Amino acid sequence: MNAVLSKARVVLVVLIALAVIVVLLAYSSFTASHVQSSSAASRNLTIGDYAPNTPFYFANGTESNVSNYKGKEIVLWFVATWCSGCAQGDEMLNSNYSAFKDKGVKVIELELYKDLGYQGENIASFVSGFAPQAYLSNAVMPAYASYNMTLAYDPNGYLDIYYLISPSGRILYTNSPLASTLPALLYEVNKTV
Amino acid sequence: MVNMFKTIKGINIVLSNKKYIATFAVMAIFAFIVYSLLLESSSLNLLAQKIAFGLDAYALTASAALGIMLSLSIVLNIFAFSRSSINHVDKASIGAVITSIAPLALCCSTIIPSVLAAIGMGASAIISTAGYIQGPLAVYEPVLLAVSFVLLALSIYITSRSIAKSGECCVVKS
Repeated sequence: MNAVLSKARVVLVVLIALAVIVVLLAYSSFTASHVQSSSAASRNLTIGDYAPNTPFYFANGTESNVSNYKGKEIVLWFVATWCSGCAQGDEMLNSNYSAFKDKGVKVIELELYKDLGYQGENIASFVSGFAPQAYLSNAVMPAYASYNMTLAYDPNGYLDIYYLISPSGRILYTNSPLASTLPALLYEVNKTV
Repeated sequence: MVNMFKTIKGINIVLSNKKYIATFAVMAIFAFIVYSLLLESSSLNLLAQKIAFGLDAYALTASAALGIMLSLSIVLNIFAFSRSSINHVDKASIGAVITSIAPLALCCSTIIPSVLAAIGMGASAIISTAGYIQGPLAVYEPVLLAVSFVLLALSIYITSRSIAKSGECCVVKS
């Protein structure tokens, strides 16, 4: 009787473990590919909206804000420097940076406010380490998001979320994560520029 | 001194059965894909590209090793329970699954921020605390993977010895 109960228990544990893994993966994949709609629901920021004009700081300390880029198409990409997926995004950008550079589209890679509470390496060394050519060519510019910018663009605290902003300051496209959605972003860039 | 003879004998008893070899192979492939997805990429599409152009050595080695060891551990446990060689839940195996999956699934996905939101935290609290949980999981990922390797090895060692001890009595029919 005890043996039967133990077998049933172990089968149950294995099934629960597998179910948890599958659910976690499915949930993560679903929310990542639908970050546009899920995050929009909480902050009412969606495609067609004007990008909030919030301050940020380049790695060299220069202060800037989103409205300074009116007239230019830009990508605002929010990362944490301890995030391995963000590092993969940089590697992908490094292989494709000329597609942005040729179109005159700047990618501003922004470290989320205080790395979401766990400070990793500084954003300049993160970008230059994982995307050296893109960094040297100035196609990708490392910067720090202010608290207000993080709150405005990423209130859910999701990693690796990005926005394509039109020259008029409207959000043209948003998605996550960059590494696996780069072809879609490049399609949008080619379509609009 | 670790006696590997009984461990190898126990594994041989299980893998001499075609049904268990097939189960082991299917689970190893499934586990390899899951670990590769978690370690190397964020989508099946990107994983397919990376497999075509070459996974990096770290992701390939860790995914293959974890996939093989995890599936072997599970198959050994299923066999042992079916033959009543052991009658307790293999905590090492369960611990290994948790330590290997947790950092990979939780560090950089939307799970932690969503859980924080679900328990009632506001945006301000989430953006200042999510990293406290996700950051260490990401930074110490190699350590946690090493711990899961050790736990899986321990699980395989203990279970295969139990099977080997009772193996003389158990003629496996395929």
